[in-house]
Amino acid sequence: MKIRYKIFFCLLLSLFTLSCNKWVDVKPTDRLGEDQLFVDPAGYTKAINGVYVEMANTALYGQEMTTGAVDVLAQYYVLTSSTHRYFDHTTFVYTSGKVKPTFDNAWKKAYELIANCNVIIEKCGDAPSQKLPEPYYGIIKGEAIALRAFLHHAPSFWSYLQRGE
Amino acid sequence: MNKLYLSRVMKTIMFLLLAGFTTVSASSYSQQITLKGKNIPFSTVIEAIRKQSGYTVFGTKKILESTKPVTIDVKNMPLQQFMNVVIENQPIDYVIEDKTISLSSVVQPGNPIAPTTQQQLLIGVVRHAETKELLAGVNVKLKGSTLSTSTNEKGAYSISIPTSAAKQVLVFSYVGMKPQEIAFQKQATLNVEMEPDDSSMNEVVITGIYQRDREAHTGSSITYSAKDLQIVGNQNILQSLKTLDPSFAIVENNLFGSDPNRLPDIEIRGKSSVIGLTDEFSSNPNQPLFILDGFESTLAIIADLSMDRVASITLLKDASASAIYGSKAANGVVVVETKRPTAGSLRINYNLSSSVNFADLSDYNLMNAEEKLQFELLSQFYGLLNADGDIIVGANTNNEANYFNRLKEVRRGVNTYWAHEPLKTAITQRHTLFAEGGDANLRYSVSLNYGLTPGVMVGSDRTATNGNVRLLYRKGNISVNNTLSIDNVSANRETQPFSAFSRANPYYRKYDDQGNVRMILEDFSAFGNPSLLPIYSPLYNQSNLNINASESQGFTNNFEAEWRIIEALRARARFGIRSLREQAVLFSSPFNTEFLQTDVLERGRYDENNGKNVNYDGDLSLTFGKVFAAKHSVNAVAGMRMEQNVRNQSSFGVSGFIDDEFSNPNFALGYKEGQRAGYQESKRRGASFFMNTGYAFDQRYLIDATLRSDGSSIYGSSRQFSTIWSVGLGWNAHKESFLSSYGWINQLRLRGSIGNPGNQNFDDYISMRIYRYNNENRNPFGASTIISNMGNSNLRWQTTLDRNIGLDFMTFGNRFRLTADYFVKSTDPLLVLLTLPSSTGVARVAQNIGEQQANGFTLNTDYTILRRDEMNWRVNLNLRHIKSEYRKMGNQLDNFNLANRNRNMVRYYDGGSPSDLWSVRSLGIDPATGREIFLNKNNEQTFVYNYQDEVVVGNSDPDVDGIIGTSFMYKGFLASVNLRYRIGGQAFLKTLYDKVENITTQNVALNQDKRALYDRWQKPGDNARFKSISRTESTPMSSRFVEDNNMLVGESFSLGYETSKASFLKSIRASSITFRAYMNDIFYVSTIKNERGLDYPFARSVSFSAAVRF
Repeated sequence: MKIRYKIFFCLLLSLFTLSCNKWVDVKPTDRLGEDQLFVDPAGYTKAINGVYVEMANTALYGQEMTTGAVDVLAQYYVLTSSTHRYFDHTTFVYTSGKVKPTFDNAWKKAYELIANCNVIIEKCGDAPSQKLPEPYYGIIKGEAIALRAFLHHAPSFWSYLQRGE
Repeated sequence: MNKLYLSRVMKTIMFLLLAGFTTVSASSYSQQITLKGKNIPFSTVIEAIRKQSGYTVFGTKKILESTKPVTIDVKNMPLQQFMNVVIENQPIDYVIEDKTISLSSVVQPGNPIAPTTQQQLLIGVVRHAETKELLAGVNVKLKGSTLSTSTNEKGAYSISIPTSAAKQVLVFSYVGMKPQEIAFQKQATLNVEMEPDDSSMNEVVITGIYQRDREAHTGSSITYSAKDLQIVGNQNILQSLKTLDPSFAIVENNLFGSDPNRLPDIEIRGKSSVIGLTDEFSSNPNQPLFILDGFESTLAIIADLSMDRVASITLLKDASASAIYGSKAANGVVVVETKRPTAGSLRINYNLSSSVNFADLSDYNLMNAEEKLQFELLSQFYGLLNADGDIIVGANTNNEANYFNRLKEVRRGVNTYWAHEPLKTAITQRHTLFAEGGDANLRYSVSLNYGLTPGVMVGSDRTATNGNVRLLYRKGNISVNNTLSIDNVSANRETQPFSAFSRANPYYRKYDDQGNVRMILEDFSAFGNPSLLPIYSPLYNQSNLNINASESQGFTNNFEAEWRIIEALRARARFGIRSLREQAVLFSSPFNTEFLQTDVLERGRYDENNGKNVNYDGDLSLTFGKVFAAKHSVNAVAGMRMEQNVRNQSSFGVSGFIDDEFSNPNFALGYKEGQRAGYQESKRRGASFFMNTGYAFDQRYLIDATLRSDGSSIYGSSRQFSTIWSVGLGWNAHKESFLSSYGWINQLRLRGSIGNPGNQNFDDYISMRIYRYNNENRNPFGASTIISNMGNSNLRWQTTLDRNIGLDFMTFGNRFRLTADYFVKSTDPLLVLLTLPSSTGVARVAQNIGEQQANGFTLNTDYTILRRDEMNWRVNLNLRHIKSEYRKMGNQLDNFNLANRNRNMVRYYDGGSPSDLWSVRSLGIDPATGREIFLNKNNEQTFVYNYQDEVVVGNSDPDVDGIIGTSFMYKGFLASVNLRYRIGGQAFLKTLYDKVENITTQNVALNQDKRALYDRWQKPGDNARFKSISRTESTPMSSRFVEDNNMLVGESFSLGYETSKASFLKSIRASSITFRAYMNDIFYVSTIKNERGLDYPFARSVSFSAAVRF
């Protein structure tokens, strides 16, 4: 009787040991690990789309780099009130506490998106593969490289302005 | 028909009840026995006695075997007479007490074992003093001889004492009970009641996973009983622990003082993580692990736990003691055990604790109205001054008018003390009702707790209600245990920080002429600078409806089953569920001054946050313990554990309240523009395998080893499992032959351990690259994801190598006790969240940088000066010294150093300590010019301040700190005093830096420290401590603001009385009563004057508690 119990106990223990690795592997539900994302063309598409969507952030082309700070610098607006948030832009006070963050954030966002592009390009690999067949390989890698180049250009636009050209 | 039936049932019930009551009341010896039989075995006689009298008969098997068959014929004979008849020719004797008859053997005349000298037989019964339970296995010994016996399972003993003219003393001893010595006065019966001994609780180390005798344990740990905790304080267990043990430190938070709704920062043996980065982590990486009744718990639960439920607390400090907890044990483990029900009839305990708390403002040194106005004038706030110190009239008429109006107010006697407005005297109360009982098989306990803790600030309080049911069932080799606990906590927080009040100007009146609260105190309109925002009265916002409340409901169910397979081997399975729901509501009235610049339709705010947290954990373990050949004692435990924690949180916010009569979100006009719903979900799982073995040779040489493999989902899939190990050695030198001859050495144990406990208190997934859905914007191409955490796949988890050597020494009959530990903790590598340049595209990334080494020692000693029968006087001292050092950092943390330049004095350099204070050295104020003189790196004097000249100017950790105290006990009275001392170490004087210098134009309108007015440099030749009053010059941090911080705090004074024998107890049918009065944190003496409790003041408290047991 006693031996039977012992055997049963050992079996129970071994059952647990088998499933341990799987138990500890938890996939988050509102986020994606990179191994979960880059498994099929849909995942790659989501990643590249992420860059496009994020470019519409107000710090970049959503506002500041299009109709916001850039247009103000181009003197498209007449601003008279000295407390207006773009007043220092219009008068080219580049050291003001309101102007500096505009530049900083644009640079940061652009670099962040460049880093995202780099990851996509790295994940694409050197040739079409099982998880990223043609034509997706060409489209996605091509777009990522192009976006990366474009994002490099845009912030450098600021430096021209700052140098007074 | 029905009515008849009903009435019959009722009558039967009534009859049964009555019958039941009547049987209970019979207690005299008027029982009568009728028995007839020839040569019946004695056991039949006993059965007859049992059946007919209802008495319980105790006797050992040996007694039964020694009896002869009985021939008897009696009718209605009184019991006592019957007993006399029955034992006539038997080698037994009896004792009748209450409703029990105890049989004991008597030495027959003519027995070869019969002694030649005369002897007297002494018999008796030993019981537990409080529960009246019969104690088996109590050792009864005649002092000075080898004669001894022990009580049987019915608590009865019999011993033959040789007659002697000399004084004879009997010693009764039992594990967990106070030994008793009773003089033998030639009586025939001696019944003894034994009291539980709390000091013996320290003889067993309870780790929550296994138990080990302290004698065979090589780790550094200490156990405190409930009584130890209650003697020093009655507020909560964390406060009492910090007074009792030097390695358990609560880091004083100068900002949040005595706020009851803030969890304290706890450190056992210093920090293992870089402190400057705690705001990056969701949990405090320096926090120890809390275990409640064998299951993992949280700091919040332990902080709310009623002290009256606690039976003991064990602190596991070094690797050998805590490694069994693996990757969570790097910061030490606190094991809390709550009271287990003891067998016996139903007993009820009631505890009441109450305290009166009032704010401690002794370190505030603010100016009064006259002084403040003078200060403002001298700082040229109202206009330039002429040579006589008067305002040059005509320059700015608005400003001047302000000055003269205020002067009028001050002369009229306005001198508002704002600091009292948000404060109140807080009376806390805690009620605990605990009922327990049961028999040998089933024991139960039910407890109800209610604790109300208001804070010293108005609108701040915390209420905790708890119900707990515990069942223990034991039969044969199986025991099953279930605890169900239901908690409800509700908290309200103050709406304004205390600093808003302490900084308001004293020359303003609180109310205007109509009796309404004034809104604007200072509006700077005279300056004509729109960027200077007005200063509002803190009383104004307080008079609106503002809510900052949170509530949580939770339950915990812990189930445990144990099976003793064979004597030496036990198997145990445990399963626990903990569920918690929380709601937090924040409502800001639309009339608050923060909304004055906001559109009318968007004023007021309501934010609600709902969270749910479910935790499962289960473990299986096998424990083995056996002594082989009387010399080799082997203990082993092995097992596995699995856990899961699911948490989700959702939140929403609305705005646009027209009125603050209702805080109902239905009254809001809509959601805030551009704001989205908040939702967070996370799941964490862990699995671990552990094994611990201990071997002791002849109880002299000890060796312990622990191995644990921990896996957690937060590590990411590449490195899920980490291995923790520890080895400990010990030597019980006092058991060696060459030392045991020295009677004055009671205990001398040397122990050492080494291990690598891990630290798991980091955010989930920080090493993984994680994408999030960036749903703020959309495009028609579908879902989009962007990197939210770049991660670092090369990240190695922080590992700590912990080495410890310790000494436990007791001498002079345990009158002098000493425990000393020296430890070296190396953390390598450190995990740091590093800021990177923006061109990397990443703001922060977790990296392994450098290492940290902490070494220190702790000392715990006490000496009993006087020890008499009912009197005891003891002095105690504990001491702690810790020093940490950074290594191998290079200049990788320069970013942090740069960022901290004007914020604080913490820097990260090789060879530096986390508590070092870095600054430029200052020689003081030059009497000739009024400017500060600095010392640069080459020791030259200069007026120029340069960050490159920074050196270590002090250290915020003390050289030594600890507690010194004494306790005196006489009969039932117990008085104890414990003072905390701190020697060495410096502090950065924030008050001086903010409120004496560095007063900007806007800050001139806030109240300042008196020293800003008096100790100032005014003209050449002044030897002043501070610079001249100026609004424009900012003073950099220098060693001028660093001073020695030595202090003495009156941490705990208590006086108590307890008794279980007083006469009045019988009249209230109580078995024992305890009263205790306390004063905590009653005085604070320090060499520096620095404001304490900036956003929430510290509190002094006077409390009392009473406990009655029925």
